[in-house]
Amino acid sequence: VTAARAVQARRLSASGRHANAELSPPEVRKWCVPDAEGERLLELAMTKLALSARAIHRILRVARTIADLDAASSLAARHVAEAIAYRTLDRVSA
Amino acid sequence: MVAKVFSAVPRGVEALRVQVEVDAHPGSPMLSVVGLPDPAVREARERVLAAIRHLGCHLDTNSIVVNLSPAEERKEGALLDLAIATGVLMAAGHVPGDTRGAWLLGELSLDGTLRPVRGVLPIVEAATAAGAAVVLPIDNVGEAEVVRGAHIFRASSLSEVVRHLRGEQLLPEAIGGNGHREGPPPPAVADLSEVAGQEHAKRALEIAAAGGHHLLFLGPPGAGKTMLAQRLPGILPPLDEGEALATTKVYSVAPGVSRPRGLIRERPFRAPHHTISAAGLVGGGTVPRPGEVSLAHNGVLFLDEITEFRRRVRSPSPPAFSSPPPPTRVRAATSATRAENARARRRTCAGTGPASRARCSTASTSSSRSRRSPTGTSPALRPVSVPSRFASG
Repeated sequence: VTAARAVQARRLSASGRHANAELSPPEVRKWCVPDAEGERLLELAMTKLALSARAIHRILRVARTIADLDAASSLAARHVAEAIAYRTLDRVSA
Repeated sequence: MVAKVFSAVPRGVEALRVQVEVDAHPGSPMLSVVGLPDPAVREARERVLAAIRHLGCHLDTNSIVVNLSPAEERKEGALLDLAIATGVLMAAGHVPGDTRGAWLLGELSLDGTLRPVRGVLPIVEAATAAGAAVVLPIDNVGEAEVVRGAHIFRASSLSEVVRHLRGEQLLPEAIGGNGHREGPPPPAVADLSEVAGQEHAKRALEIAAAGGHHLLFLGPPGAGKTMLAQRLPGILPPLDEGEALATTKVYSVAPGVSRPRGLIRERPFRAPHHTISAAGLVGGGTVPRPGEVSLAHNGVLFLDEITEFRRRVRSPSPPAFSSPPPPTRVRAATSATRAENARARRRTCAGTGPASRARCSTASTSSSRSRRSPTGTSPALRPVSVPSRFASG
């Protein structure tokens, strides 16, 4: 967790903010770009689950954190998949 | 003559500088305070007069008017006592009229002893930014010394301040920020390793802790939602200096919590009961005060049994989160969002989220609620096959 926070702090050092949850939409577009496979997953989730644009951004922020925990610099499909899972767990099983 | 002394009152987690102007002229003895004083400030006259009597000074031939400027701003609390008393003594010619721009803070007891007051930290910070020294009750020095570069005089009674101004005996002074004074050692926090199983939920906690995300646990009673949520502070990184200062400021101002003795180093964990009022949660009032949401600043706001919270507390559009001026701009509004994120759905859910500053607006959560409501309205307390379910927001 500490290491992941350090990565985030470096990324946001200029802005005075600390965590991925505080990323603004332009920053999400800049830092949370998934790879092709992740992009495909995301689109699938968006249509299947009728997710809004905001939901997508939230998923991307969480995915960024998961990738940070993984010490990965880019968002792989598995990061996106895990983030989507957290977002939708309640709906799938409800 | 007109004497001028500076003081300040807290305004949310900021400070409002107050210029105390005192005019004394021969006439029938009276003392009136103008400039929108609240009852506590108005009663300062009784405390001030008694304290001055105990100094052995006589004012009885003077008619005295105290003006608190800016006159259109409401002032609350007893921390102007010292400045008013000093101003009165100056105007009456009992002490030389020069405080060198220092801000005087403190509540007076009838015998002239200085009592500690709330909200010292933001005031000392503002004074330091303005290049002014502060005169404080001894018991407030601990939290004031947190401010880097603060020039602090500490006094235990009105007579000490008077002797200082007369040049008879100077008050002890200190510069803040030399080796940050630490608060009491943090209490041992519950450890995540105490939770058996629930690996999936632990993973979610870890992600939420790492990214400052909101988190919602859903599950049947006894699955461990509360236990898991209570262990979130244990895996959060320590507060950095800026965060610690911001959190300490909230605790300096807030009523009903112990006054900080130094910099707060551990992340706050707030778990308000679900019977809490809207004002208690988000703060507010004519003179805005921080609520639970602000007390959880940079820490965790845990809303257990979130569906049990009153509607007005939970729902974003009616009074709770929109209309009263939030005590601290973004802070209240944002963490309110957190409450929102964690809200709704089943009886058994426990909502939680690290209350670092987020930026989603409350309006945005209201739409997510309406969108989610189809699932949200399904019967409560339905047993579920998975031990615990959660969603992140």
